[in-house]
Amino acid sequence: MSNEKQALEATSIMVLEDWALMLVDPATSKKIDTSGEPLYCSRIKFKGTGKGEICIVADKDFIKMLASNVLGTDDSVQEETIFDAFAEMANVVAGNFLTEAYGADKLFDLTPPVTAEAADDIVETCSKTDSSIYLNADSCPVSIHLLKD
Amino acid sequence: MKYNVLIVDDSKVIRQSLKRTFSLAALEADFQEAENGKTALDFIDGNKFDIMFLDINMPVMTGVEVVDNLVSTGKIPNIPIVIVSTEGNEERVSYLLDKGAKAYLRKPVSPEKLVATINDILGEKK
Repeated sequence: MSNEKQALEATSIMVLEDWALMLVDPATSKKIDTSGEPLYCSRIKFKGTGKGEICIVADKDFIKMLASNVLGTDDSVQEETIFDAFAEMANVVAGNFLTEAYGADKLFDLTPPVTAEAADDIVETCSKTDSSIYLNADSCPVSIHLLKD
Repeated sequence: MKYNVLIVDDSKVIRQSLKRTFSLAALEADFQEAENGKTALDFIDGNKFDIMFLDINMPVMTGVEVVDNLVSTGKIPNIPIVIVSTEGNEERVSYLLDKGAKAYLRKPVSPEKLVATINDILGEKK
């Protein structure tokens, strides 16, 4: 496993466990079965010593659980807030990944994260990158990808 | 005592989490929320805050630009700033602390660490 992939895995698990308070296991499948429901992606670009982006792909069940856990509520969370939590996850993963992978002496700038329904070509591109992590978080599948320019 | 708190972060979830921490710590506070640095500077004009939480990576105006502005206008000694960010670059963090930020917390921040920092800073004002 490359250093970048190791750093991405360690960072992703830390963020899901420590921030979102989720139980995390490696996923056995690289495909997220949504039974026809859409997948969503949260993306953040970075620029500095290297250029690229972190892309997180998940279904809505994961995103809802993430938001509820981060806010510490069982109440229904507004749609806008759910996706805000998903965007912030990309921000937290990316910031910590960059230091873990390249060191605290390297300077990077991050763009504000964006979320959207994941188009097929995005999912396809993500699945082809070597630095991809596939996890189950509280039994919800989620994948995290490093796409380098 | 009721504290005046300014939270500057483009993430609504982070703003809500910070507010919740005050509630969990049984600290009474009035909150102003800003989604970017420019709005934060507008709030700072004419208001006095006991503590400000400041993200770095934001649209429109970053946290670094906010600190630079507060230094150039001479306002930074009046506002205890806690940087809450994913920033991991030692040089950038040192720059902000040297300019007058009181503390730096790296996301994800545990509630315990956040409460300890809040108590440290607000304790100085009691």
